[in-house]
Amino acid sequence: MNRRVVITGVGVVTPVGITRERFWQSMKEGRSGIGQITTFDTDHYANARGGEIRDFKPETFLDGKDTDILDRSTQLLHAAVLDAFDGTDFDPGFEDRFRSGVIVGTTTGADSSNFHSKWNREGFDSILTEDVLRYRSDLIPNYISQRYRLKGPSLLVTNACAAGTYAIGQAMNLIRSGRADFMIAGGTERMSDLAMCGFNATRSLSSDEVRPFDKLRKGLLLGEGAAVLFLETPEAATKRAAKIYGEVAGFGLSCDAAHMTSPMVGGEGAALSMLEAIRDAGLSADDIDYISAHGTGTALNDRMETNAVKRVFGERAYRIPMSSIKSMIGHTLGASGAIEAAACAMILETGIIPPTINYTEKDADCDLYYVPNKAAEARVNTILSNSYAFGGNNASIILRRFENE
Amino acid sequence: MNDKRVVVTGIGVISPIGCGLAAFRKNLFAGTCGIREARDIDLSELPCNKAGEVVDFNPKDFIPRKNIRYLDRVTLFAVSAAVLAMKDAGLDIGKANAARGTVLGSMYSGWSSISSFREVMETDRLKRVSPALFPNTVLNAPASQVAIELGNQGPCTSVNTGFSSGADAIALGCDYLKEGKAEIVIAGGAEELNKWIAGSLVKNSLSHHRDVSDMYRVFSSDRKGIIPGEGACMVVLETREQALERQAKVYCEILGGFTGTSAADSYSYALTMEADMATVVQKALESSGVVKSEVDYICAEGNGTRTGDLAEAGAISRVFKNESPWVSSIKPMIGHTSGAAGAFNAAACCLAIRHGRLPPTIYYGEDPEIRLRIVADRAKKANVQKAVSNAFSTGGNTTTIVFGGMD
Repeated sequence: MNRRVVITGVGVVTPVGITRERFWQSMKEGRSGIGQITTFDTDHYANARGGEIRDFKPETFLDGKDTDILDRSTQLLHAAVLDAFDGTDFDPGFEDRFRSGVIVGTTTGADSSNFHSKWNREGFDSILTEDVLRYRSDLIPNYISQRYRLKGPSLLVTNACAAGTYAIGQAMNLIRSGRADFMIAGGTERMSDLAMCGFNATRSLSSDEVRPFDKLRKGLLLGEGAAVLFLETPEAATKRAAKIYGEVAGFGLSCDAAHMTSPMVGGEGAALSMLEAIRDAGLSADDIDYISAHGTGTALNDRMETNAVKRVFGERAYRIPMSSIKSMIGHTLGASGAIEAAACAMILETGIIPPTINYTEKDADCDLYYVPNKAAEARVNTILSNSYAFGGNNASIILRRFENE
Repeated sequence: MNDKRVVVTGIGVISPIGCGLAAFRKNLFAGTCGIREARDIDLSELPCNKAGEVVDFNPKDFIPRKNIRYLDRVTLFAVSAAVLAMKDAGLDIGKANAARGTVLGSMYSGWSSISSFREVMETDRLKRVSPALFPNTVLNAPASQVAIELGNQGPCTSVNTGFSSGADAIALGCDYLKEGKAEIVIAGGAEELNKWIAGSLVKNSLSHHRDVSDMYRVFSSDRKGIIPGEGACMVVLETREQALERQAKVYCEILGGFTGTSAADSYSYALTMEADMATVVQKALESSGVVKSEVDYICAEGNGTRTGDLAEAGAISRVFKNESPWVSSIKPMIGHTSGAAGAFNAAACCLAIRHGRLPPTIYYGEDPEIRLRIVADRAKKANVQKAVSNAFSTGGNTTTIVFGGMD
């Protein structure tokens, strides 16, 4: 069985907009969501700023009890799911609830070390059942499965910064191969003090803005957010007269298998996953007309990524628009691939390509077309979206305009 | 999907009853208990300090790489088991290979590393944390280190579905082979035990052990819940065609499986769980082309919680009616290894088929509410052609895998 898989829902929660519409408005305007981080102490870090979601009110999206118990990453995720439902009472259970599921990607998840902190601070006797539930990352997708009574797979993918892209690709595979009919797929990440401290220690934090692919780029800034796509077959979507944003057509994976924290700067591993995604979609490299970059803004990633794109596209690499929305919302780690996929769905829908903001000076090593500072208009049919993670875990997906054959 | 058939050609184990397959197998069939008072892990704050701890584990015996001192315990377990599995499969290690994939399930990954990192961060005013400590805090570190050690440049995936993680990793590995994303996949689960895991079980009302003389009892009315364990179990998966061509030793074929989630409304939680588990088992058999009368053995999740035992026993009874196959739980021997448990169950099925023996449920006592044919106390000889492994988690994740002997 080889069924096609279409996107029928898009939900987004980011520092530049808590709904898909507001997010997209900001993307078109090239607005930055970076500001002072307020949820934890940022003294002694290279930068005190990041993409925090300031006006997120969990009680808007959750019942009182759930607001208290759930970790912020689950709260953000559920807000994204509600956004994708668009206020409808659509039941994705279809005829067989065991064929509808959830796959979510995350890097830090519910951060179990807070459990340890509380235990250390207040002693074992003070630990409550709620504390256990709050810090169990495996329960993040389970919350969505339980809430909507979806009895298919309920999977947390923990492939660090590529997890959101993995989640969408894996969900696509399940539907394509006939094992599922409907999947909610995406990623979630809350602003993590632990990741902040870690990236500061590895000198990956930028001391000013995030400037992906810029000669003056100094590193990444963290963000938080969540995004989900609703995926199903064109037949099911047509039957219920659902809006179709586009199609998820290919999924490629590879692993550098070289180093835990440094990418292969030549881009060999990253190129493998791109080529596999293109092959998996039954396309050729010539079909790609926009690349959604990982583009973290670190010296090494951006150079590696540029090299990888040149490997795959040759001379054409210079003419394909490629931008990084991390310049606006920061690096949302495990959510980033999902938020970028949501942006891709909106690109297919609107024909507008979001820019790489804060771009000032061309780098001899990063000399492609990064859609600097201003959104561009283009008819985009086929998108390649890339994510790269710690451990050299590379993931690429193909999103296409959906044409009925 | 297509008609590619997947077989298991290697098994690597780091467990409380032995490091390496030979020791594990011997103890598994001898009914050896690997649960005792914790020696190296500090469980002194807990009501009971018994655990299935991996002892006498020397990673240098398994991992040739230098600088393994930077790897944390869960990663050392995972990499050691992976190396052992590759050797068992007669495959070379370390040469870069884009056709080899890695899938690892873990519920907590490097919880100790994450917690030590936070401790430094919270106690050092200047937050001078060593950058060398950071990589182990990332949840995909164990899988990625396996890929690095083996040179696996194909898909490298980390999953967390709670107690089902190891089973889901193996299921995903089968998918990668069938989809042509890899020619060899090393898949399984790994978990290191620490006081937070043990404490979570207590606070989550999954473990009620107080007395060190109490054993881990499953499917028995005097059960007291889970005793945690640790370890790693990795299997080598490849296509049947390739395995036969290279004349590999084949444990068994993976005929199919199904992954579902019990999504219960709170009023009838136990009953919904039982019905949903039965559906998962049923669908797994259907996907494998196996009829229920063919099933010789079920390696149960059998986690020794009252809700879990009754739901699983009820589910098996719903599917098999009055003709229960032989059922056992290996957890009383090794403890509940959380995210690795599903992979250990899968390995138990592989060994049952290959060696014609069923691992026992040690310390078994009866429960009038459970009507299963339990392999009690001692291993049983049996011709096993079809075996089923179950894994389920408290969040609802339920995965059943069906194994078949080689004809």
